[in-house]
Amino acid sequence: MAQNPTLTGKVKNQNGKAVEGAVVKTATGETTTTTDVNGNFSISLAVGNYKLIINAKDYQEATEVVSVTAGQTSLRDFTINTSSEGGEVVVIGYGTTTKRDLTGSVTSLKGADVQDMPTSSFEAAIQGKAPGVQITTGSGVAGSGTLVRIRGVASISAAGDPLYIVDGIPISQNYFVNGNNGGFNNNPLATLNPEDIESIEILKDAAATSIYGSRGSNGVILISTKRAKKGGLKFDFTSRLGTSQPTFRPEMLNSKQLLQMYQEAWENDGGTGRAPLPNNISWEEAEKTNTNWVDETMGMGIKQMYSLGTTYRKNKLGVYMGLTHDNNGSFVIGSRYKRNSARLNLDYEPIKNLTLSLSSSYTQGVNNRVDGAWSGGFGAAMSTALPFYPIRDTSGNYWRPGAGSLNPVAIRNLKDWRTTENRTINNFRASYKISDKWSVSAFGAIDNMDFFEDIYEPKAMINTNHAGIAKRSPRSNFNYNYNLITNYNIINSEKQSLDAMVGTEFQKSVVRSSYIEVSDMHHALYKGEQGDSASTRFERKNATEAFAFASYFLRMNYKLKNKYILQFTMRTDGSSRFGPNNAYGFFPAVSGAWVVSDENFMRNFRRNNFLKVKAGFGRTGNTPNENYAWRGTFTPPQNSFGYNGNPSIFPTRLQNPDLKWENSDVLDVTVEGGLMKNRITWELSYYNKTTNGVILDLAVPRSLGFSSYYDNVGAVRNAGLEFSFTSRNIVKKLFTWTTQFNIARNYNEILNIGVYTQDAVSGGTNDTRVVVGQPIGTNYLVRFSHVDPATGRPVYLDRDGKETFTWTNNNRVAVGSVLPKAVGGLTNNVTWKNWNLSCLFVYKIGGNIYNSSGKRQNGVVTDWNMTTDYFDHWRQPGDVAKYPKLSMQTDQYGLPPDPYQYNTTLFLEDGSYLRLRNLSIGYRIPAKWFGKSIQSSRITFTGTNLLTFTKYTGGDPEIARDFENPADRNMSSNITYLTAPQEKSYNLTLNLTF
Amino acid sequence: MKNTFKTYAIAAAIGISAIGVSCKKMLDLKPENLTLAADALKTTADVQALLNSCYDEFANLMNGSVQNIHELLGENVAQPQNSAGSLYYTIWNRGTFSFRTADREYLDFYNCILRINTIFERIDEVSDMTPENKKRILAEGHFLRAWCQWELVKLWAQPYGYTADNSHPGVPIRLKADKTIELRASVGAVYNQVLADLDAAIADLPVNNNNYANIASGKALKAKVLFLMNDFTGAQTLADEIINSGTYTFSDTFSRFVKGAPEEVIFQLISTGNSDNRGGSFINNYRADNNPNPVLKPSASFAAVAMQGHDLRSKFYEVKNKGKANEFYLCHKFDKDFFNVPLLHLSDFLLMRAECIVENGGDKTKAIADVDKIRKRAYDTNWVAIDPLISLSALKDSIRHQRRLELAFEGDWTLQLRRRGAKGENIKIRNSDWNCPGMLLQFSQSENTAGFIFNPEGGCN
Repeated sequence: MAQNPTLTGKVKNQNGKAVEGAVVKTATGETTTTTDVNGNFSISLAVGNYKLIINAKDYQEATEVVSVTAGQTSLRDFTINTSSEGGEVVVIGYGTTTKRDLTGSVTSLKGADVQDMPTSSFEAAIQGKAPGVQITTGSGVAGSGTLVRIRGVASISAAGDPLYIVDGIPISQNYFVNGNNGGFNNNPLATLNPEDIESIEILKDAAATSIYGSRGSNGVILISTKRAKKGGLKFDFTSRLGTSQPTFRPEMLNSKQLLQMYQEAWENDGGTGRAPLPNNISWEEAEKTNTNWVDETMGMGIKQMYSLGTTYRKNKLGVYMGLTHDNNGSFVIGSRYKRNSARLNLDYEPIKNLTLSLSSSYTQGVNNRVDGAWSGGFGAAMSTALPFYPIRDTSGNYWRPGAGSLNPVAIRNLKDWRTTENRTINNFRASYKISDKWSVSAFGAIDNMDFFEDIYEPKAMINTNHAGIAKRSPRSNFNYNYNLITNYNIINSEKQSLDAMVGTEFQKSVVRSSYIEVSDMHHALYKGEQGDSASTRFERKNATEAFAFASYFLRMNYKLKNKYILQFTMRTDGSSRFGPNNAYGFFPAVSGAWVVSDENFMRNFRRNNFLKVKAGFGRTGNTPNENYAWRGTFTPPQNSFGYNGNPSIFPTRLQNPDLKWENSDVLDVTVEGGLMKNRITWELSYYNKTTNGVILDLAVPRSLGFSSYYDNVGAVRNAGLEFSFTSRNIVKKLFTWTTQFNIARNYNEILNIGVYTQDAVSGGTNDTRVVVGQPIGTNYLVRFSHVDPATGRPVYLDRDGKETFTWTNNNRVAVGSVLPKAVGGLTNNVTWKNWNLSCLFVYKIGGNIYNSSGKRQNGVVTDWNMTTDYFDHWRQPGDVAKYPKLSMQTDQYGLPPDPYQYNTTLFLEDGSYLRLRNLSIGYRIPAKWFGKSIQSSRITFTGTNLLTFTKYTGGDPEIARDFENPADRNMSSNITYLTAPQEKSYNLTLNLTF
Repeated sequence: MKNTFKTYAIAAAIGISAIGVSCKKMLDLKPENLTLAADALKTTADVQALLNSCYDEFANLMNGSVQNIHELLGENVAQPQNSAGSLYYTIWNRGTFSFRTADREYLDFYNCILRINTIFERIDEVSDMTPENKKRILAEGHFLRAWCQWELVKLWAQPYGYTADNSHPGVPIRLKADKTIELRASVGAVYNQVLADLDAAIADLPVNNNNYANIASGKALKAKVLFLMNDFTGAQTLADEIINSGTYTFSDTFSRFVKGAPEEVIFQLISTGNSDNRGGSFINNYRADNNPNPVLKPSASFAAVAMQGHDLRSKFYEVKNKGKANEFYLCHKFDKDFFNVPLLHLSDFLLMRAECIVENGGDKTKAIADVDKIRKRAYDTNWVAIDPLISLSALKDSIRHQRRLELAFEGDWTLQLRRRGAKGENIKIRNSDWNCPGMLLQFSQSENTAGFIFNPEGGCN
């Protein structure tokens, strides 16, 4: 009998490491063997084709078909992927690991998790899906920014946003590239195409983030884009069509109602005859007009998206190409965000052990802008655009008495306003495997964004005899980094392994900006620069801004018996943002993991269950947002007009050479487990983060001769618990049901702010302050007690709780915080035959909303419209009402002569909510319908923000208004000032793979 | 293999250290278009430019901004329109509070002081500085620091004399360009510092100094300070010196807000054109020839005093909607595109000397002569000389009446009323006591550091 041929090979994991003890067997189970310590196996098989099954603990079962030929020893290697129990691959800083080996706190999301929802920017789709990550979508205005907070906020004046890294480059992420012009912050993440995303890793604790050292303090979000996988040529086409509507329509008074209110206020104040009306409108005119400005500024937007992804993988070449066109029309009339995006990712192995990877993307985002919030538009519809103002006068011209914002329709139609972002993010990596133990890689990346804002104001808008004025604000941000990394496997034995990674990195970002204004123009500059003969051009180049980081880092991983894992990381960062005294910061972290279920004493338990404990302690940091905050500077002579015809120079900032890193010391303890063969997996984390030397842009006493100054003052603590679980409730061939739930509770406290008082840093124009013993973003307000039934006057409480008719800012007290007590989400996925249903609820428990515009809408009667809620006001002695009597006089409310000061708890409400964030119903079209040409196809109906349950009376409870600066962003989420509501949308998506 | 290992190891080591070697340079990024503080003051021209910026900043405060605040607190201007968030409306109602007060003026006066203190601290770093230049620059610094400190104490504190020993809180005194927080010094201490600075200035200021401060400016400013301290002897001595110097001539025209250099002006702010206009806040708020509804308008009570026939100055004022419920007045004193702003001028010192003589019980005829110069110019052909037998009290009233009209809307009258109140006269300003809390501006909330005393609020209406 002839001897059977032999099939030999090696079983490796996805990282190329040998897998010991893997069982290789034929599908029939007749022949079986096990891999040795180097992953090698040898199996004797008769000639023929076999279906081989490879099984290994912690790895997913793999199946491969092999052919065994007569008289030959066949060679065949297998790669197997780690299982969900702990083997799932996780991208970490400068590398990957498996979930099992992970010692830090990381949440991994797949690209599909952010592509299942029609959001214009990917981060909005993370909401409710990652424990400890609080996402507040900006508003329904197209292209608006999102507020992302990982485990609370530790910074006050420095940016509190996480660090975003796309394929290895920390991208520029300036929300204030255009200030809050028009009541809107630009979203730097909107130019990242969600369709290109393969995975998102959210690094939360020091063990995970300290490898990013100085910028890991507020968490790190790693974004990996799609690359070619196995298989030949594949196309993936997605098309989506949807609508955009507001989740809430403000209920403002109509003309008749408003006139009644004016008259009532007038008579309450002792006036006789008819009340004077704003802007010299007569009663006769007013009674004839009734404009619904909300309807004029909010309608229904149409959204479209078309995306084509192509992957090709053969031999040594892998190609991914993506093309996407997005056109997001908002319910805010005139607001639209269009994005065209192209991506090319290449992987190539020219010689053995050398891998070259290229990632290249180009995106153009065009945002058609309208004024909003305090700047006009729908903000005016909720405030200064009164219902008795007409859109057009009797001659058919736009009615425009002086202040332009009184007619938001006229402004919208006259003003041509758009911003354009051209962004390209590219990187190149060369990795060479010198030996089985040693590899090196060199990486370089460029992230360049050219941003233009174009505004054209025609003569009808600016009341001139000349043609209009065209303005352009160009701004370019050139950001690059490069790094060199080497990995070395120091020990690799059956029992233990020790790996080391050492690297160095440099990053520099340069921002150049200017301003151009051309008079006597007939159109915006993006349509051409040719004006009429009288045109004059003014151009100003602004100061170039730059920052740089130079860093060294090290990571060592030690693993014993595949169940004790120890990791040490450190990074030294040098930053141009600090003076020589403190240019370098050191950020170490140590962490460990213990797979408890692998212990002998857990033998009975582990058969069906998994249990792992991990803990880490380390330091991360943060820098000020300003690039030259530590330097003392003077204006140069040419920038100053001087005096008496002579030049002048003057100091612009005092030097602070002692300005240093904001340091966070972070402790994290996590327990994770799986029950019932991982039908239920869960994770519970506790963390405690103390941030010292908090960077504050202090509002210092003006008697110093300057008004603000960056300094390291005070400390902040964040501590919290996170819990998440996934339960595969039903797993049948035709019917599955999976539930995912997460909740995170964060405790935030300002531990001290040095010698300064609560007003040293304020959240922009909002009434949040820094109060020791209270969270960042504490509402610091005068308490409103009740309306005096006898007089109708508001009754306040003084600091001691005694009732008073007088409002004074000395009576402000801490009355809660805008930060929520808990946030989370609940997802249910059900599949039945070809159908699937997915439903995501997100929720927020606690966290005040301060309706800052409410004080003007439903306060002293001025030139603002009011909401219908204001009907509940005092009218006569004995009335018990929510709001005081109507009056046009501030002293009747006990206020100083300024109605803006009516900041009281009357406008403070609980911001808790439960929201049906996403509901989708999909149908997988049977392949036979199309024949062989289509591999799979799917139709999905998706609805977002369909239902909201809240006690908040002012509109939509999910609020991230336009912010003035990073401190405002950290302190004043949940403050609304004529902020647009969120978007409710219905979408139909078609997906084809062929 | 061994060689390959070595090659790569060396390459990696070089690569990694390459970043390190050049790290320091790569991180030393300097702001473009700004000069580093350490490099800013190398030459006399640099220091001169810094001093010039002090004048620049001071001029942008005294362009009407500060004067308007005094007028709003007083009785000469009508209530501005009630537009939400209007600082002028709040000031007129004498209701400033720490969220709405004259932050800009407070900051900029102290910023001006910061610049001067920077000169004081760094002038010796300059190698090409001659002793003469150093003496002059320091003297001008003392002059401007005194003036800034004085303007601050006038707005944010009760007047000199409010308490017998002037121990009532004034404003922080800043003598260093650093971050040390200073609390409010007493009004007495602030005035002592102002006078010390002025004495230092007078000692070293040159006789002629182009459009900048000269010795006469120093003396004139000190006279004004002493007058407001009710130090009539000191004020009269200096006023005498200025008037008798013959350098400044009383002019025929009472319009001092012009483009040139009127002969009676001792110190003025220089405007070189429309875009370099140091009278902007007067013009923007009062100008009535191209604006039917300016922000600031004369009050009815002022108009009743000022719009009397035969006074050429009454041409500055105009009544609108006469006799109707919505009657109001306009001021045409500042109806120009730009002008220089006279801050120290002979008319003021004539009236000052006249009042000082009366207060000191001096030669009445001399006082009458001084005030009649002003009256004659105003009433021209209708002028009737003051009766030499006039009582002292009636003469004083006449001098003060002329002061109110002559320096109308120049920020003087309210300060005079508060001075007289501190002197013990029974003074009401717009129906409220001269020392009611709201007459003082409140400090900005940013001053709220341990130990800082805020002003009481309200009580004026």
